[in-house]
Amino acid sequence: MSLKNTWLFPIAYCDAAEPWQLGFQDAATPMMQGIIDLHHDIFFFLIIILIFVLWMLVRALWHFHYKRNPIPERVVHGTTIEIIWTIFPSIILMFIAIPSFALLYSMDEVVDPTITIKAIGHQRYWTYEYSDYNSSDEQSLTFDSYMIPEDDLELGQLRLLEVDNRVVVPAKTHLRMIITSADVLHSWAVPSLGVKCDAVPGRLNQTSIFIKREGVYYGQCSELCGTNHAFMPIVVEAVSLDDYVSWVSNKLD
Amino acid sequence: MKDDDCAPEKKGITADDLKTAPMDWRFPATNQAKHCYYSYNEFHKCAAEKGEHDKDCRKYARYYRSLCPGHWIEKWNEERANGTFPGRY
Ligand SMILES: [Cu+2]
Repeated sequence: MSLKNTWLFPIAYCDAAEPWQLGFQDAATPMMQGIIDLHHDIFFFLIIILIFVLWMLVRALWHFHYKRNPIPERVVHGTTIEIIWTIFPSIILMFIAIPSFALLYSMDEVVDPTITIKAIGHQRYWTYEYSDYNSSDEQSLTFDSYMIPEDDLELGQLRLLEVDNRVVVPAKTHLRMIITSADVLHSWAVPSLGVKCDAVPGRLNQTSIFIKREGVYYGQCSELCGTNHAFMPIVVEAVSLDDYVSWVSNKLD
Repeated sequence: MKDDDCAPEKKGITADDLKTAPMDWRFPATNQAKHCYYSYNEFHKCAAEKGEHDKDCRKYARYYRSLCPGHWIEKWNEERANGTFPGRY
């Protein structure tokens, strides 16, 4: 996406859920771009199949209506048609499977990351640990991220999505997210980043993120974890590398 | 790498400090728990052999601190102090 003319044509990206939204949020990572593209590719086949099947159905109902066609035909078997309707769907499935697997395996690809961030699910908040800069076991850049309750929202803040402490990450940098839980199952999911990773106690699920542009990305816990499951949102703030460095330095002081 | 990396009074970071445990092909799975546990043990093995402040040991210390959640490290350290940690070192 070229941002050459943003001064002439300002763009507002959709990085948070909107009321009654049906489509995707805007992609901020190559992964999400891949997911959206795959969705559109598959929809191409889906619509062709849908129209073809509907056409067959309506045509059969029309031509073989009992008034138009009082004596039914008694076809029991047709080898040619059997072969066609077996081979043809297999070919379509293959055309869907190839890009699907390509995307799936590219998601598992881990590039050597620059930063590791741990997201630890709790009932009902997320804890983030930035431990790359530790020089002892105790000292650590760790903070809890609670949802801002409805009564405390300021004008323009998003209901059920805003948190008190955002995850600040640099844009255009390879990040390793380590996602785990301290109690029950949670899931760390941010649609614009194309990430949805289960938080399982005892497991350290790794996923990599490369954010293409600076921005604030909203997500929610996506594994039913109990009564306040809806009230533990995720906010990722992607900033420039320099801003990230000064943010970490401030936090460490 | 400077020698005073271990000094606790060191505050703030620069762009050079942006480094973390690299991808390790012995742990290709999504679940990095073994990677974390291995790094933790490797550090204590190294510390027992060469001393805690050896350059190689500090590398493993960095790795396990990057990968392991704080409460895991806390628990293992406690077990080590009580002598109930299942590892050899
Ligand atoms: Cu949850």
